[in-house]
Amino acid sequence: MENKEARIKVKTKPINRRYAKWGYIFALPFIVLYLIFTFVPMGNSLYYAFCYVRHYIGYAEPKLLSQEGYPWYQNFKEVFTAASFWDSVKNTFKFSIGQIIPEWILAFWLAVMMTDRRLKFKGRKILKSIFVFPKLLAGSTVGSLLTSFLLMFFGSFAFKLYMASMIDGFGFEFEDFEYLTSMPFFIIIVSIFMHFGITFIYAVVGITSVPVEVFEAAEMDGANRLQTFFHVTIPCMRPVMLFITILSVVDCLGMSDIPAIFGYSSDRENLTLQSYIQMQAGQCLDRASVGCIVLLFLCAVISGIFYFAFFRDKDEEALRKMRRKEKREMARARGEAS
Amino acid sequence: MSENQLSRSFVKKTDLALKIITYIVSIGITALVIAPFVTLISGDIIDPAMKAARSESTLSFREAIDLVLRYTPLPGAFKNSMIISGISTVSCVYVSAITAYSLVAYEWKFRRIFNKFIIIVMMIPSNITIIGYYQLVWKFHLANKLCMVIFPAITAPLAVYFMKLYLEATFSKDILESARMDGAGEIRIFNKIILPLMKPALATQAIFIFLDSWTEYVIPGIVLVKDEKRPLSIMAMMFSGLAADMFEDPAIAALIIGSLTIFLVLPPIVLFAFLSKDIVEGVQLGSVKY
Repeated sequence: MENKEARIKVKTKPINRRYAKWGYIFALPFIVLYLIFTFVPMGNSLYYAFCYVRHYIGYAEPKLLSQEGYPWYQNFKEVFTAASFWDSVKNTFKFSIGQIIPEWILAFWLAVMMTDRRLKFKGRKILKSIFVFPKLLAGSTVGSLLTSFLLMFFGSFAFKLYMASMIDGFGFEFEDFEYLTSMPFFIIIVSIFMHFGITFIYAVVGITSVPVEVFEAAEMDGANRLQTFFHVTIPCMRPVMLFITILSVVDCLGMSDIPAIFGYSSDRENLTLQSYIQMQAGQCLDRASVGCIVLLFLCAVISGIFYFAFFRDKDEEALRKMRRKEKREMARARGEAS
Repeated sequence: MSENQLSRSFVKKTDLALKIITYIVSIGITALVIAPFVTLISGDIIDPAMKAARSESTLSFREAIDLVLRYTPLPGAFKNSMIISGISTVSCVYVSAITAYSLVAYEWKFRRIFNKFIIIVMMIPSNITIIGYYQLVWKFHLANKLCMVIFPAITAPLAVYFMKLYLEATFSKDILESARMDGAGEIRIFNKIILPLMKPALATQAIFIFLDSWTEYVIPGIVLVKDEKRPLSIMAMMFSGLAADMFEDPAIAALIIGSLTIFLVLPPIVLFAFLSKDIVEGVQLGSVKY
């Protein structure tokens, strides 16, 4: 059996190699366009962090900091000593964590329930369109109308709780609901509402991609729903999970449009890293570049942690390592024989 | 025996409870989405200016559109937006599909490295290129050209990754071999066989790519500064700032912005209505082989 497979492999190899050039040809447009229109501008942005650019430079070349008589880390020093920068990083993390955790719980719970064979839930396709609807309207006047309606809804809810605390009906204190009317809470709620549909769609894609037999086997062995989800569904949809994670992390860290609805004030309650970059870009492009480096660094570190902790296929990695070792040994044996 | 029956009825009860809770939660979310439109129609509107618009102004929808047409370059802006979003969506989907195909179907030397590269660049947020892009565009005198907005939107690593997952699940080498046997060229095979095969993945990505480029305002804002080149998203944003000053009656201003918004909102919804039935489902996407 093994011999036969090996023979087939040897036979087909030249054919595959003859067609290999098409692999290069088909990948070429992406590589060229990506290098020109993303990598070069990115390098340019990052290069600005070491330049002196205090106003719009237009066609002129920016000068390095050392040419202006500053040390090379001058911009980093200025940004890292600014209180507004640290506030923006803190806010970004606060909003991201506050958004991702409830959003994922809600989206995955709904997706699991709607795809469960035993529940026979109906109307998933219509609900999918409805959940993604706020995202379709985002960025328009209707989108902001939607946002303001949501704000009003939660605002009146919080107001009722206020009233309850005023008459001291249930023993609540006034301060207990302070956070319900605060701006960060509203921002998180609206972000969840806007982004939740996308996570839901991809969660359904991931869960329906797991073969039914696996679920049946888990059910046969007496696993309950929670166990099935954590030990069967999540490991089986690992590649789609990576996709969802990166989508969420990049969107959350780069969030600026929803905080911008509330307008920026001096107490910097809704200043995110992205809005810090946008504000700095108006006057000091070099500081905005430092912000870009920090944003890139955070995205890379957080996505990298997720990738190496959860989504890397450790078994396959080990298998590949073993195969490589075997091949090397075989080559060595062959070399000795000849 | 009786114990078994007992546990089965218990399972049924919890199933029913779970089902009911799921229905309640999803209907609640639906209500939150739909409620603003209901209030919009019934006339009980949050914005006092809009509320006044209903009671006092005699402006019909047609007149509002006429006013919009008189004061804004709406047809031109709509056309620009359509060109930018249409071309960038189609070419982005096509380039992503062909890149994913090259990763799955052919055994070239740097395939594994390129695969790793795609996963790494997925993590780069698109916003950080903007500052550098701004300078490049102005340095090479390429401002006010629509293609400079389209090119950066064509490459989307996330779309490539998703299509690769889909293709790995559905593609088999036998199709390729038999098509080659019949004498089809490689490009022809991709266009005639692989693209129809990938239709669900293409539809899923096309919706979100179109949405992104339709509502995008940062890159068009720095590249397109001439009035006749501006896309709809920027034009609407600028006009809604201006309208409050242009029209003394806030009700009329609100009405005009509202009727302008319809043009901004409609195309993504129409596209979604066409493509939503094709969204990927039930394919063994990159699932663990067993």
